[in-house]
Amino acid sequence: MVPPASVDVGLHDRSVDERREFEANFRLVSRSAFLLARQLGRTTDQARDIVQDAALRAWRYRSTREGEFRRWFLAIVYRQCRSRVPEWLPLPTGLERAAPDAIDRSMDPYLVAAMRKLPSRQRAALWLRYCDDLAISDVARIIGCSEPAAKQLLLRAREALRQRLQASSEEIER
Amino acid sequence: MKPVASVEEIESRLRALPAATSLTASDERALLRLERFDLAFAEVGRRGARSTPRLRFATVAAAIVGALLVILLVNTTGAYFAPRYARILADTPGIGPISGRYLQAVGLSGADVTLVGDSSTSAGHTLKLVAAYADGLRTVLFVSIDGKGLTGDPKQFGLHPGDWGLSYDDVTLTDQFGHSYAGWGVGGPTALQFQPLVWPASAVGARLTLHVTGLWAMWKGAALGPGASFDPETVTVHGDWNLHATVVAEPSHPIALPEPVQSDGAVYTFTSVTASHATLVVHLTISGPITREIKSSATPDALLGLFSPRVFDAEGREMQLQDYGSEVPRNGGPVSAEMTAFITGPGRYRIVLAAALSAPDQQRWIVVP
Repeated sequence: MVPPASVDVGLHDRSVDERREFEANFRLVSRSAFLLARQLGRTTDQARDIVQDAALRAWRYRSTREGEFRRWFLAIVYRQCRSRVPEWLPLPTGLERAAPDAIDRSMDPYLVAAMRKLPSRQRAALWLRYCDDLAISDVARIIGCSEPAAKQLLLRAREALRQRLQASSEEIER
Repeated sequence: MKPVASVEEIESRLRALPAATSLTASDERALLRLERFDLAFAEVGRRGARSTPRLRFATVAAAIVGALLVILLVNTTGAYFAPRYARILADTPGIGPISGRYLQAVGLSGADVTLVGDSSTSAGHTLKLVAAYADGLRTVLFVSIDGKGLTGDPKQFGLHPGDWGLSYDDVTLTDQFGHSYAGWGVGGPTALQFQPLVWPASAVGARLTLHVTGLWAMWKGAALGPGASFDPETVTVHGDWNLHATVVAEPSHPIALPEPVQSDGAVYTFTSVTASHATLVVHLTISGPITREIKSSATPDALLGLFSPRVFDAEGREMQLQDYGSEVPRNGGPVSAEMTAFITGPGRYRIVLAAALSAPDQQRWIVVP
């Protein structure tokens, strides 16, 4: 039995170009995607798996993309982080470690510590808006809510962060 | 007491955070690997295999020699490339040195697996490919390291000195036609799952080679305790192990599609249902007003409410799910969803697509032949 002949050369070339363009776009956003997954509490390995899996899904559903690649891809990563926990064989209890902080050496450790205590949705919104410098409309699309809801979310997140920073400041003084 | 930080100050500190931080060594390494991520390699299991130069050479050689030699060459080639044809399969079923809990973790029983027994020694460690399993939906390999890793309680393995494990980063799996298989689904330090075999290995039987380049000292990671971050290189021993197995894929069958499931505001339409005697893969689409609401404003939690499947056998025992997920396209099309479940053999199975769809007329039965 002989494998079926490949598709015609023109299609092949177009496919190669499309793949190259996709991979170039992916490389531009992979760091942001990885850090977002880490901010959402994933371990290094999990974050990498999620971003790779998101790349495969994005490629598979590339025809459905509307708008900018970055926002679209980060939305996939966000959903993967929230809705799908990679399942592995049961590891020994000692190896089921909590996700270490992605930013373990920081000049602003109190801010990092305060962020870690926020709910993951608020943490993701803050990270995307301020650390990744995305517009509120982008944050809304990635998190899956309306723009007014994203503004509310950011407002609540900033307020929660402010209160936690205040609390830690008072603790230090005591 | 210090004054309360203003919103402007918080925003300013947040914006400065990326520049004020540095990542751990393992995070930097993970990022480097992502930058080298090769879509073509990752997607390899979805494409058909092509004949290798070695196979083409054999074919050409067979065409230019005499009839008798052609027959011998074809037979010789067949013995290598088509184990099913050559009847040299290691097809003795049995549990062997694998505990039931390890088998259950990947949804298999002792009767499912083929005992192999090939071993390889490097860097002072002996790896043994104890058993293998393949069907049209996945490939599973069981590897012991220095005689450990497949017996007893998986929860206890890795806590004691000498408990070495494998990572997908340090293994590659190829068949006799040169096709590579990526890690797939559930996997663990000694029970590894890969993509399903592809043609022609899926048709004639596969001679698989598992190449291992590193072992992970699991107990050293465990000793650091919960929450510890460590450099994988500090707990890895490098070597060169080659393990071989001959396996024939159990067949998988397309199953007759169940009727769509209706709920308030959503219609679940099955698009494909495929099963082997151990694995069930279901694809479906979800459409209707609820999905439109989710696309515009809902959270991932709402997606979970829309699709959180469970599978039961005819006796009402719940089957283990490997994974499930759903994808919301932005172009107005239906939500696509998929799930993989481990089943226990031929028979009737009941699928419940979400917690809110448990009424008898919303459940669907399938028959696995």
